[in-house]
Amino acid sequence: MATTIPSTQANAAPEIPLRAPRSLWSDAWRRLRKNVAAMASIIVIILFVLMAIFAPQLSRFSPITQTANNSLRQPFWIKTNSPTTTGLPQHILGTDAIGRDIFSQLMYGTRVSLIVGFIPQVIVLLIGVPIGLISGYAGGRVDNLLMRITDIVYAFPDVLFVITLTTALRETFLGQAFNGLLLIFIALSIVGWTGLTRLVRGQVLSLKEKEFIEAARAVGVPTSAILFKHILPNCLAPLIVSVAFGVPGAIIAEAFLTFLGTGMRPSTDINAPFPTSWGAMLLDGYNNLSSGPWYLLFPALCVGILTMAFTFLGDGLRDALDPRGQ
Amino acid sequence: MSEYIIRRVFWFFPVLLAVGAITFGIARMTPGGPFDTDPNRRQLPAATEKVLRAKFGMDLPFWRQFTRYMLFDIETDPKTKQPKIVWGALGGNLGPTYQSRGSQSVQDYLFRSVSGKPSRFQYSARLGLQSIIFALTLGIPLGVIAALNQNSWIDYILLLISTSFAALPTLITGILMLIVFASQLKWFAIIPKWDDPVRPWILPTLTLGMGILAFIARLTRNTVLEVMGQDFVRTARAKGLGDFLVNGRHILRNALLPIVTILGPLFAGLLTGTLFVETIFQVPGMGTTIVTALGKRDYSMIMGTTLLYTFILIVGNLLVDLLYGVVDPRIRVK
Amino acid sequence: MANGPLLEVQNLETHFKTQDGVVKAVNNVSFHVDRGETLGIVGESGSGKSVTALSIMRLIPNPPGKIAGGKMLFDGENLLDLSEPEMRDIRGNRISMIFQDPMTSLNPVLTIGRQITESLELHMKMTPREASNRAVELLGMVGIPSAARRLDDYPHQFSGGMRQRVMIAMGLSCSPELLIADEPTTALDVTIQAQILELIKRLQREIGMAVIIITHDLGVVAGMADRVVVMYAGRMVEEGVTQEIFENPRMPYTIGLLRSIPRLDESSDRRLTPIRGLPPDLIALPEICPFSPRCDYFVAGKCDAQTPPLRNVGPDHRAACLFDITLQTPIPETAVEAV
Repeated sequence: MATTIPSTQANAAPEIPLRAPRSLWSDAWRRLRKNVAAMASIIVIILFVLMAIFAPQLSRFSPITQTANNSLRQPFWIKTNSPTTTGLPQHILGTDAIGRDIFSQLMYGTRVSLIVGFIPQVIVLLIGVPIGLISGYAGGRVDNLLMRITDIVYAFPDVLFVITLTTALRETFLGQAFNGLLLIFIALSIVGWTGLTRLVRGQVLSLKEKEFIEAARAVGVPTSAILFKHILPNCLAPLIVSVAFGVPGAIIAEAFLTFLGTGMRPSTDINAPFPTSWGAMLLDGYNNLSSGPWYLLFPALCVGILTMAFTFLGDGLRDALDPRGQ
Repeated sequence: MSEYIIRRVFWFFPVLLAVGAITFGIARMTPGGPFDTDPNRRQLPAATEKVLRAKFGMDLPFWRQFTRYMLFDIETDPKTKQPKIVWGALGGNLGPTYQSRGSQSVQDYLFRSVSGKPSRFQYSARLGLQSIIFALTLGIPLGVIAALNQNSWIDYILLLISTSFAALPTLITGILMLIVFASQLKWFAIIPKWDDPVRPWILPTLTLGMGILAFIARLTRNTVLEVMGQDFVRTARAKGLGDFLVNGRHILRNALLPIVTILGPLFAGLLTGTLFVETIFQVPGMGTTIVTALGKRDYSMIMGTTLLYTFILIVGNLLVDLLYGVVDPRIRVK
Repeated sequence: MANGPLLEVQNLETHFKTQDGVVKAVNNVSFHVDRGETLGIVGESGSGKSVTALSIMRLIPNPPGKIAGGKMLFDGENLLDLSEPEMRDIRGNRISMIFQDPMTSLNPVLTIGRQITESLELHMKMTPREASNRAVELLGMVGIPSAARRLDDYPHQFSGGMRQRVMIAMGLSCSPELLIADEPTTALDVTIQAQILELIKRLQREIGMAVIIITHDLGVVAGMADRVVVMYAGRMVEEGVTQEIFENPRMPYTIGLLRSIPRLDESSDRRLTPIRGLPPDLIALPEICPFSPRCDYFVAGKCDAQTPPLRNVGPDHRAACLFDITLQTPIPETAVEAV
């Protein structure tokens, strides 16, 4: 038991190590990497993208070439009594009702689904974000008006609107462009922008009154700079998540529309980049269900897997980008 | 509170008018008309077509067609030569359908039950109700069980199943169910006979219900977990309350709030889901009605069903908001 | 059973398993509370004071935490030996706890009447009507006007101070022998703070219960506590009668705390000297004096060679420092300046 007063010798206080600081984005990426489902989804999506790009190289046959005596062939592992329908190794997944190779159709169909998932989201971003920014920042009557408009669009059942619009304008120029895809893009964009606008507006509203915005204004930063350099970066996280979740909806919409006969039109042009879509395969497969489930099954599985991949990715992104975490 | 309800109901009209206007506009933008675009039918003689056009009011100016359809119109009764009011959607009249050449109205087509069979509306309503009841009565308890047994095998299995089904789009679930259970296992007919009161309903209800169930189970689980970590639960335990009371009275009642909130968008999802499911399983409901009407350019059917769907949607949202007021006293008592 | 302290905590150890290691949130803590007296537990955030209180109530979430050792003798019985139903009998009944933030500590969807009566119905076996009446009485005792009408109100309809009064009413409903108050006034306005503390003191006299008041505010301790325990980094570093601790602190941490607060009775030109540095990371703390990195009186070779034990430095006064340091001990010149 020491009872002395400490002497005045040189003392070095023991050090406590500090943790290294990390940026928000690398933190998020670290979290995302740990999410098995999200990582698997990224790989799946990349695989599909490769399938779409290299469809011509991957498919032995053209998806639109019709061969006689070759219709409704089963996949190669199924043997039937009839020589025209028994499985052949060169038609891995069989053929459809008019002799077109199913595997090729599946490869080329990937293109449509990816494009339909991607492009409307871009359009929606280009429309929705500025409107949300303006509406939230300006406030007052502008905000009110824009919000009433989004209320109305929001009240409309999405799928109904898309179906109605695409069917009504099918025979017009708009409906013919791009095998009917342009019309689908437009329809999906019209119903899709409201969600993003509300999201951005909400963020703007919550950030508008924060001190750092006031400070920026006081220093004389112009409004556009405030919007783009201060507010927008804070919205990025939920925006990314929203886009990821929006893709599956678009893919399903195209599949369903084409299934109803009102969406994309399969092409008979050899050089067309989008000869067919999974939706078209679903329709044919459904109609020919009595001769086998495979023609319906493969596109259904593809649609299912691709949409699930985007959903899991969206989930993962949301968990990774939400700083509150668990 | 009642003022809130009145205000919300007041908003019905502009919304429905706008929706009507948009649909009306789209329908009229279509090239061609309902009487000449169906290649499978004989073309009408010009005289008949003229009579029909007059009957459907297609000779009237655009704006008048619209107000006549949505609100009402005043015309002279040919017999009594007196002016009388012809009601439009405001009065519940959704107009005559084109495919019946004007002999049947849209609301009649949708709501009348013919020779003892349920009406098309009833088919859709039954599908929707069955699915959501299935989803709620199974989903909420499963979510609670998973949360209370967090990280156990029960939890993992439940998470696995619900994540898969929640991520699978309804369309695909339906197609897969059709392939597996109807086409391959042959437990159900691909083209169902609807006189059977039970059999043909199983696959459609399961398809629509599983997606919602998965979503609700996950939401319930996450909400319960979140509520479990809140301070007032600690207070309840500090008072010596046992698990049963803490879970039932304190946790669950708070966990219900986010679930009720989600019912609104869920309801919208349910409506669009019925479209998919009805198409795949050929349920004779409003969904298939719309699809066929689109093919036949039956404007008034398209408009009528769209208006009806929208109406159901906004009423549903209003009910959910009211329910939320009941469940959360912070909203109820200001 | 009637002799001896009401609560005696001996060598309590409460550990938490985290991703990065084991956190010894309560590390060999021993103290006692006599019947009717008020014990203050003082420390900064992370010092382990709240965890100590939750350990007494056995409300430590398991996983990731657990009470890893020691004894807690309440009225002679070791609380750690009780079964869970027996423990539930004690919670809210013989030992009550009230928490820091009345906004989040009350269930927002239940009426406050319900939240009070549920204890009464559970522990005192009252009928709903009896419980209601008693609840009205309790609300009156804590100073809530129109008590009968307010039974059916919800927490959000009360102000912060009122809500804390409701919490106190809840805590006292079964006339506990020991009340643990975890930072009861931290979330409240200063003027309300005084009211609440007065209320607790008054009710303590009326009911005759012991109180453990946990706080980081030395002012609160000075006004309320008979005895004080000072905690740092999960350990007890000083213990004694309140007056003694304030006049004659013997552990550099306590000294540092007292030096860093302004006092009415001293000249206004004394500089406030904060304690430099930050509290330590509780994972894998080495066996040194936990305060040494921040201590102005640190001696290399001694303070970093062992964890100083609590030793007697006066009658009923213990401090965990190897040296005899007091408020008057000058700070060595070579001490590192505040960062």
